[in-house]
Amino acid sequence: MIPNRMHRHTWIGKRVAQRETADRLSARLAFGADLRPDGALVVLPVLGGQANARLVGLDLDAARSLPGVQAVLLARDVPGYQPPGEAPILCADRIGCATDAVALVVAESAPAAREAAAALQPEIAPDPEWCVPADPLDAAGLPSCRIAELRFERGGEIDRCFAQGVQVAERDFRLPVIPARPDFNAGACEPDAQQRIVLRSASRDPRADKERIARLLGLPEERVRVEAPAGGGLFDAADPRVGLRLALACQHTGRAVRYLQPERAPGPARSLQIRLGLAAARGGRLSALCLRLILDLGAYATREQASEALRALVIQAAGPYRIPCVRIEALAVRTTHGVWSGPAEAFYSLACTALESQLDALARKLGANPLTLRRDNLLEAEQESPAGIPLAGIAGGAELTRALRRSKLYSLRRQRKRTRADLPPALARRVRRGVGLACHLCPLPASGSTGLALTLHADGGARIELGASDWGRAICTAVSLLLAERLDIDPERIEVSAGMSEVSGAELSGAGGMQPMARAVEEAALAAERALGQRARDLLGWPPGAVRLRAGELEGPDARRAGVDRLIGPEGLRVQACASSPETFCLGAHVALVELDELTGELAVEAIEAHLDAGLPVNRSALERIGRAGCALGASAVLGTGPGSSLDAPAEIAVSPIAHGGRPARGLGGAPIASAAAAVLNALADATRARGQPDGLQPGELPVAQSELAAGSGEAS
Amino acid sequence: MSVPIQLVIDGKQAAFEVGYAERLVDTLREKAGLLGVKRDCGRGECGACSVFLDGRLVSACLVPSIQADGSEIWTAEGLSREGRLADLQAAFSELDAVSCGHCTPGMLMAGEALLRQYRRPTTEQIRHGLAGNRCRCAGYDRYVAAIRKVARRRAARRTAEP
Ligand code: FES
Ligand code: FES
Repeated sequence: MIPNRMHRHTWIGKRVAQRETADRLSARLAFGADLRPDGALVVLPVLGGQANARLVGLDLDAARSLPGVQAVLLARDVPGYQPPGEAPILCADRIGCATDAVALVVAESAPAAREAAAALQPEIAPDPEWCVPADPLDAAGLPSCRIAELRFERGGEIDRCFAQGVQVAERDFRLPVIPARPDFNAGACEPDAQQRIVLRSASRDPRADKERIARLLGLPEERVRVEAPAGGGLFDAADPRVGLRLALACQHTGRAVRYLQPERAPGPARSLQIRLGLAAARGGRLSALCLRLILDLGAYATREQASEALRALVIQAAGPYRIPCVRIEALAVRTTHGVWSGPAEAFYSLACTALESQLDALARKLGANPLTLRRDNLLEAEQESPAGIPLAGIAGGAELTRALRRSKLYSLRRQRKRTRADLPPALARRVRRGVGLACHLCPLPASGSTGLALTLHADGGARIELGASDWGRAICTAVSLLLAERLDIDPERIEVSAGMSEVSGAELSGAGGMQPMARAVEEAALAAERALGQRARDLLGWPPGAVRLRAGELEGPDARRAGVDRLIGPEGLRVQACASSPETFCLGAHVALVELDELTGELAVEAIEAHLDAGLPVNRSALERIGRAGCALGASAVLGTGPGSSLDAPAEIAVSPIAHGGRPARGLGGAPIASAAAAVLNALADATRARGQPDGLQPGELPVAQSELAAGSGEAS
Repeated sequence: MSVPIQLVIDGKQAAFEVGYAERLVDTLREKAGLLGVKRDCGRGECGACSVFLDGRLVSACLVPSIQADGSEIWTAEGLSREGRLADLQAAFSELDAVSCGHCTPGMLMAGEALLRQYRRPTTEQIRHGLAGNRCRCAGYDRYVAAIRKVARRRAARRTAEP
């Protein structure tokens, strides 16, 4: 059983610094790009540079004859199978986006690789057979570019529902473009003594990567091993093709290789457009929601990926409210934009902003307090969301409302404190202050299974090897706390390593977050107890019956006890466990306090509060850190693209877990970011409300243009 | 064509042959083996490659290696002595200001530069001082708190010293 709040915890719920912090601080932690196997060759992809094109020629002889060049690999050198629709490791004929690679140079040194790449002079010609548009709206009109659709309707005829609403708010929202980022989580690959290809490269799911590499290289799976090193920074920048290219070069040359980034910055990637209408009946009950959404998935996405991405966005855009009449039309399209390598938080931010800004607009029209309007309409656990999803395992609306009522920031709004008391009067008049609130409903998708191997040592210590990667989210620390709690030992006595596709020849599945991890830890502990119980019967003659492992001792039937050192040899006891988790959801909210300078239009996010439902908080320190980062990222989505700077970040951030009521440990998904931007924009509207402009400034595009802020602040004054 | 240059890196003499277009970040990473100097954007936007060049904070990806000839370079790897974390590193740890750690070396150098420039930096000064260093996964408020904490500790130490 997963521990819950009824249980007094020794380790769970503590504030614990994540593992490897000292290595991170002393700059000794090696990320993928820092791996330098002895004698490694460098692998440099040569990009096509344009979309809807065809590779016509390459000067292979010129490149191959240069000193230090070991190989120039083309699509035809990929020995295995690549299914159509998957982003190509190397382009054979069609070039779908500017960052597709047409060749891989493998050379002794970086300068030699660059020289060879220049000598290749790829000849690329536009291909009239392919005319995928860059603009997602154009792509929406072409059946060949529509990858997935999601339609949902309930509660009757939507136009009639809107006509019956006493107040209606409707508008368009756009996230025009999210720039892709260079991928610096690259890595290295080398053959090992067992003739395996061992890839060390950033990976969310090492096991899945191993499968793909084996398929592409035409190798049996046991000839491939993946170990994900520390990943970092712009997490989503990991292009899955990096690892595949490394493995291909390693297989071809039989030598260790490492990746060299092409100098050219990747082009723009993906955009999102939303039209959202919301109606309320008398008394402030929401009555209808109409949502149209077009998601640009770039040049490559499978139908499955597209459906998953659409569903997640629709759940967020439709929100956590009871709305009887709903129509949703969502479409994912193919464009010429790059393989996904941008931050997903920008999408969450827009989806949430669309709904939450309209809720505030309705509240103003109804003369209602925004919190009251939300309280009256929030879903409770187990009810169905407007997107038709039954919500299991969420904190209910009542819990969230209670948390928000205690919000220090939101109470500032009630005080209608709209100018800064701490500034001289002349200046204070120029600074407009506003408070905004936004709620979110974020899906945590059902996890594929997560696997781990647990080794118990005779001295009472333990070791866990995880299939999933850590990537600085402190999953290793959380796992050690979960196991320490379960076995009643000090977490310091538990060694954890992460990101392996297999250990000692046994496969570990990799994807998944905290929830399946907590289950896998429990499963592993049970398996260890079963094995020890059997040994106790064989070696010590214990009768059959339940046993429990506590503090290095096995407790058995008839209050028998035995130290594990009597049952475990020097090799330790090793068990494996695997678990998955169902889809679950995070309900929560952000509250923001902003200041807008009327003269310059400069917007400062002074403070943000995040109210997040993390289930059982395993490591409060990690929860708060992830929550704070989410607030900073959400706020930066309003002001710019990508992670903002310290100047954009909120000066004060507070993260409060919502009382968990015995729910199991689980992650946060996109919840720490989801409604932060929406709260900032609602605060901006609050700050700029004025006579003649009762709605205040309500930008429909992220990031908000400085000119719009300047114009809006001028009007408000 | 390559040119010989001499550097003092984290207190140690080193000599390299560098290309005309070579950037300091690449010399430090690829030739000096200082992989703690991160290379992320490669164009001065993220601060991951921040180092001290003759006492000044620079983005090593923007500095031609030739220009650094004869200079003294300090990197984040040189902050800790004999395996002991420096005060700023310790404060980052105490306030849990590290997540994935990718931006951390650059952030530490930017923080150290601030502490050398101002004895008691204000929040505003710190936020401006860190503006060139991007972090995606820790938020910035703890960096500000950690730098302020170290400033206070150093001030107390200065006062205590005769
Ligand atoms: S790598 Fe130098 S500033 Fe980004
Ligand atoms: S700690 Fe991950 S980017 Fe800063």
